[in-house]
Amino acid sequence: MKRFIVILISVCFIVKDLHAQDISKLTVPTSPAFSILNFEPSAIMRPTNAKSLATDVLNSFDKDGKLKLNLGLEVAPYWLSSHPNLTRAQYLQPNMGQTFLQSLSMSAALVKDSASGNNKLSAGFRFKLYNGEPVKALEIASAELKFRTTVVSIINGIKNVVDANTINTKQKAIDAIEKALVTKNIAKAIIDKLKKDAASISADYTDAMADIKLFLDKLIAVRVDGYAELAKTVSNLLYERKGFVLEFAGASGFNTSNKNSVEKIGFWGTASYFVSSDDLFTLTGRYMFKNADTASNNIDIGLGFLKKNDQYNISVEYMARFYSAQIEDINISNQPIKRVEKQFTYRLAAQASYAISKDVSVNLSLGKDFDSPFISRSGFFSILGVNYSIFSKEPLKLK
Amino acid sequence: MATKLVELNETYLPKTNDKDIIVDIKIGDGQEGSYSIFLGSEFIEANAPANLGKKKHIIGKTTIISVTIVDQLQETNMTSITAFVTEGSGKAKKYGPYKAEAENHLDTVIYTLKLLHQ
Repeated sequence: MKRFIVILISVCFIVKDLHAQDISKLTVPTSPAFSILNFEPSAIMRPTNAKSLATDVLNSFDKDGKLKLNLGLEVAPYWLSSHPNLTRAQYLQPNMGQTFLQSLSMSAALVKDSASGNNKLSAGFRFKLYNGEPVKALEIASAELKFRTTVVSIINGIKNVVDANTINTKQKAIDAIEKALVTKNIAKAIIDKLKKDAASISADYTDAMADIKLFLDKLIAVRVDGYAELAKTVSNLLYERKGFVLEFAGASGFNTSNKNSVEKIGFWGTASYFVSSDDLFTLTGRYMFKNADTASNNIDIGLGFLKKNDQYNISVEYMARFYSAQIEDINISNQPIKRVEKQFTYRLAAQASYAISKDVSVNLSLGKDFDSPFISRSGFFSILGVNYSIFSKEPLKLK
Repeated sequence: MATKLVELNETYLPKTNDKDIIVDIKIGDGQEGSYSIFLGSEFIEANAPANLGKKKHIIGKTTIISVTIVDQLQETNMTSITAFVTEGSGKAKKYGPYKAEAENHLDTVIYTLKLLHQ
């Protein structure tokens, strides 16, 4: 038994081939500019309005007018200004043009390569043309939140009509709120909760006009705190989509220490079908150009399936790669030449994760990675690992 | 979750004597919220166009429009409302758009628009 445990632990921690661990290589990178550099800047600015964009751009330069290093910028141009005509319905079910505008994001980064000492600059974009449909759970949660915010809007309305003649006591204010809520068929449970909240704070306020308004302000604060979790749920559900999603991204990387020469160019395109927000099929196309010591071009086309769950994740992917690489070499006359190698290779991978408890999960990856013109290896991998969170307050999440 | 209060004051003078005066609200920036409309201290409607009645019913009174928006979008913290007042089939008078940015994601913005009728 002891021997078995030792072997099991060894299998878990002696990992031979780490480059095949990603759950899926079929998705468009979240921030293409960072992805193309293979580097996450230490500071990322994400301005959400024109004023903060201007501030962030000014803060990107040092006192000598040079761009600061290890800095990233991510910006969604459409969202830098207000859109009073954009209703929730249009936001959730936009046409193709509106989907493009809402989803377009641009990213840039400037980092120092610690190995070569060169400064690398990158710029990228990402957008969608189709973004599926909202999930049913959003409709249900939004309706629930609307009931709650209706209560708050009515309390605020009553607060503004408190006067010496009509609503001149806390009780009359609560009665007026209840009457309005009953008119709008708000559920009895919500009204009862409101009355309970009001009763719990009532003793702290008198029936003076100013105090009644303070009492209603406090009641609003209690109600707002009461729907905090629900609002968070609704906000998360806004980004869970089902149906067809079409997304594109591109990025390029430059070596600013070497005449701003282009080092990498990448384009990604994915067409996904979300059976639900947790089950998706995806078709990916990708082009990658690298110009370092050797120049290489990769064209990848792949298919994948991913199923997520609180308890387990499963993903299967296949990606075909057509690559060409120019490799420094010498010919039979001992003259330096550039040998061009063109090949087809593929990656086939399956991964499964299972949550044993809220703190521990096991992961298994099996498959074959791409062959490389630069490294000789079998490409086959099998990795068994354990994820655990001992000190984190947050339980381990698979989704 | 913090709450931001936005107070707004405007005037609306009815143009006709015999047409119903309807008030409605549009919430923008892709956000969702609720609103309630009062004429004086009387609750008229919530989350739907409110019929305030005819000129003689509203003159000298104040319409109070209370709008509650919870910022739910990760892309922006902006919120905005626009109020529309119509009489019969006439062109709507537009108030706003009024804009306010929530300090943090998931904060609540409460607008109070008072329309004085005199």
